[in-house]
Amino acid sequence: MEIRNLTKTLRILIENRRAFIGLLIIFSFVFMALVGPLLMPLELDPRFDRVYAPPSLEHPLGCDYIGLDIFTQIVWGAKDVLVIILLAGSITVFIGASVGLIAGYFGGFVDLLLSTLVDIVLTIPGLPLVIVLAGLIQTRDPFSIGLILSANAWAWLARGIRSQVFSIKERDFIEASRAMGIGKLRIVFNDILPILMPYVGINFLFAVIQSLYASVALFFIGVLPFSTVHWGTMLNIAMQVSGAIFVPYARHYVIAPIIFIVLLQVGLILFSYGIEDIFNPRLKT
Amino acid sequence: MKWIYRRATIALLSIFFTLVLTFFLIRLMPGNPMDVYVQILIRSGRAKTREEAIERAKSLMPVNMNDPIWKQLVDYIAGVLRGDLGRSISSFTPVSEIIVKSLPWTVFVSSIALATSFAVGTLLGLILAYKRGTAFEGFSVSALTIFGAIPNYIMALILFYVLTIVYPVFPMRGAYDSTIKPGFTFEFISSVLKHAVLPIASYVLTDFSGWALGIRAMATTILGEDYVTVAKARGLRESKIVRSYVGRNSILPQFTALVLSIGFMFGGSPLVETIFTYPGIGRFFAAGVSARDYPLLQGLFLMLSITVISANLVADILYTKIDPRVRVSD
Amino acid sequence: MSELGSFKNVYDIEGLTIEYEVGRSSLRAVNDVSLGIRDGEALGIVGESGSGKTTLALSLLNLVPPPGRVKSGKVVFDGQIDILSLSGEELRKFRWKQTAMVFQGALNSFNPVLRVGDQILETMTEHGLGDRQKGMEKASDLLRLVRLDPERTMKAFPHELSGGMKQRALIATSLLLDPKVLILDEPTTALDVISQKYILNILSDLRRKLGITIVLLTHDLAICTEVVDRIAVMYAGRMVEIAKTQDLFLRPKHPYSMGLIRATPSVFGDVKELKPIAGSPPDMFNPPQGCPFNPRCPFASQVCTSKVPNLEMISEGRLVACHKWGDI
Repeated sequence: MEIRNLTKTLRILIENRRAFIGLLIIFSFVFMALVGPLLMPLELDPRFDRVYAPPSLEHPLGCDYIGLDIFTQIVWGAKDVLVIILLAGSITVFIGASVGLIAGYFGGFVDLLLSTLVDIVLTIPGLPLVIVLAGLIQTRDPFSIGLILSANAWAWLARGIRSQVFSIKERDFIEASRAMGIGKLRIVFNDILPILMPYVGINFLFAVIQSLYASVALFFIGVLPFSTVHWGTMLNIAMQVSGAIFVPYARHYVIAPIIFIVLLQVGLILFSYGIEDIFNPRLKT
Repeated sequence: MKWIYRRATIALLSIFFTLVLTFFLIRLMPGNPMDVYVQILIRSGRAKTREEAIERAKSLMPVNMNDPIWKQLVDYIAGVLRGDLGRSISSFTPVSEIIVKSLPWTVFVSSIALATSFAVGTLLGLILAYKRGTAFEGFSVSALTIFGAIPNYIMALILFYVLTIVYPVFPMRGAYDSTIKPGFTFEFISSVLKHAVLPIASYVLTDFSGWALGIRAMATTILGEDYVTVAKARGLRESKIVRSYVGRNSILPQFTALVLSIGFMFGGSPLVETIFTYPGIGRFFAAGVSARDYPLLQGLFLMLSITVISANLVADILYTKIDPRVRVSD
Repeated sequence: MSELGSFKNVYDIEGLTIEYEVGRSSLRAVNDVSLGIRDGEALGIVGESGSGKTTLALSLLNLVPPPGRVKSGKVVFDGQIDILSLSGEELRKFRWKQTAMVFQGALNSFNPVLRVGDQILETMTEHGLGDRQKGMEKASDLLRLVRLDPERTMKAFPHELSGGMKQRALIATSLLLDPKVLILDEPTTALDVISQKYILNILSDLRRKLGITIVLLTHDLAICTEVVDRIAVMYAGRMVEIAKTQDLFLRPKHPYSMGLIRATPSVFGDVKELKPIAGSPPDMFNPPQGCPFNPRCPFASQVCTSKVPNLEMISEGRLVACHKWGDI
């Protein structure tokens, strides 16, 4: 049963070209993050004989300002990048969905309270809020960082889920569950939530995309010390610490993180477009 | 009408909430903010003795840190209403002054950027909708997707690198050449424009794809609507149909997004402005974060929120005036 | 093989074939149709949805939307103008001025963001009739003709009018430029019975007062008894019978026409037993061999499954496309 569902799902994904390419890209990055570090040990001792060494067979992306191989750093950084955006996305979705479900189902005063909260949070500009919070709560813990990154994002999902719950909760089978005396919370999570899973899934993707944008920004601006191999931090070092951007033969140090950041983002966005196409049968584009 | 009151109330509540939030944000700092200020003042050499530092720190905050917290909150709100947002630790200038000096630059760049991305994006979106199914469309959509995936600060980095360092076509920093005296002279204005091109381009090149794809999706649907076919049957000119029938109906849904963007425009992007060392709100914001300049951060964040909230309110109200279908009763 | 009468034809359709290309397959919406529309008559084109009547009507304005394409045939207006080969500008000037069309489902036929009055006026200005005052007067007259309040209607936005009102406003708009031909696609579907009667009355009025040629597309035979002089029956993209209204009702010659009549309740006369037509509409991507109606035809025989019957004149003004018409 499970295998048949899986092959069917895979087939749908493959037929949609954008989803397929996006997924391919994402898997490459996951592969890089999981397998890469096992294959390439991370050296941390400066090698001043190799400062800004240009790309070569031995160092496919060249070396940085203290002679360390850039490609190794990218590979090790992949894990940090992915962990943070996945965490942030999950937290966003968890908070957003919970708030939306509760506000939508319970209605009344609870809804009024939560909706007003959501409206308020929605109007506070996201990136500045995240930057300020990060600046104040100096932390290295990925979970806390994920929490900070979701400060504003959860509100969008909450709103969407809430309106969907409104329409679903009037349906017959919910009425049946109520009549059977099943507790409210159980109805919400066992009956309503499964229907909304595709919507939640897509929003998870969106949250991940947004987190990538925000997390790289945070590390690029240098407000959070986290890990030296995170691509955002690499850009920070390239731009501000080492001034590599001003050194003509050091351009590979600046270009490398940029390429990978954009590539990952493109993969995520393509995949999200593809999934959207699959779940919202619109005019074929 | 009743509905407007609800929106306005939410807006006011939001502003109040932000006020309180920014007030408490500073208390999220480990330790007593007062002590932190004293430390910074001493370390930066602005105060020679501890007493002097304490005095100065006191004047930085519109609030007396030793009062009970509810009184501090009230004083703070009173201060804000007076326009007193404290003083920046780094430069010792009043925050309100900094805002007044930097806001115009951000608004200047952001408004041109928004107008350009919207205009270009809309035009492109309409063209793409009409050219559906052609190779040009397929290629453009892919290109647009990639452009849209690039974060604006990355685009800024790329532009900065290529067009100020590799090929020094544009100036590297500032809002205008500091050797030129500000005034309504051609020299000054062209310097301002030259310095603004790259920041604006960073926003436009990453933003316009969003508008284009959105309009394209909408226009594609609209092109299949009955009233467009009827318009053709009525013998209306193609240009008229594109403008009043397809164009207007496609742009409508984007309108709320547009006005919302105006709100966020007031904040600029801290990163883009930092990369180009452009003296806008974002730049000071970023600098304030690095320097832990809390009064400055507080003031900027508060001002930013107020403008965004107000813009959202205006957006909602304006939208009903534009779309006749929404002009209904409560 | 055009059908000539002693009257002048305002439209001559010859051997028209229109196909829709969907993916790799194509659908023949209109299959070798020839028809003459006489000046001043009221012609009803009857067929189920999917029979091709709308596509046929659109071709009269060269408005068949992609992926539809005219594969062969001619559409000639007034014996002179070849509609299908008009240039863009000529076509634009022709549309609405010579022939106007009231589309099916007027609910979405108006631009939602413009006032109805503005849209009516713009129809006139786009055709070079710039006098606003005269335009307003004419529009008001026409609106009154279709029994709408001119002031209220012109000021309103489309969503403020009911379906029936929009339908009538659309009819008024269609008459603005004094067209010779007015095509109406299912003007009464989705309307309640009272509005239906209203509209049909209006159409009769229009014919009397303006002498306009009316082409009425419908699947509902009952409507045809009210307004229409001649009926052309379409099935699966082909013209299967053309006859005067009375003749068709009293003595239908094509099995499909017979089936339609038997399945139509009549307001007058006895309540006969209603008999629906057996079978289901054909798959237009893979139509049956020979006569398209043969799977459902109670009179079908060997020849019907192999040879497509041609539309032949069997008496003055009567045409049938059936191998078996003589046996019926």
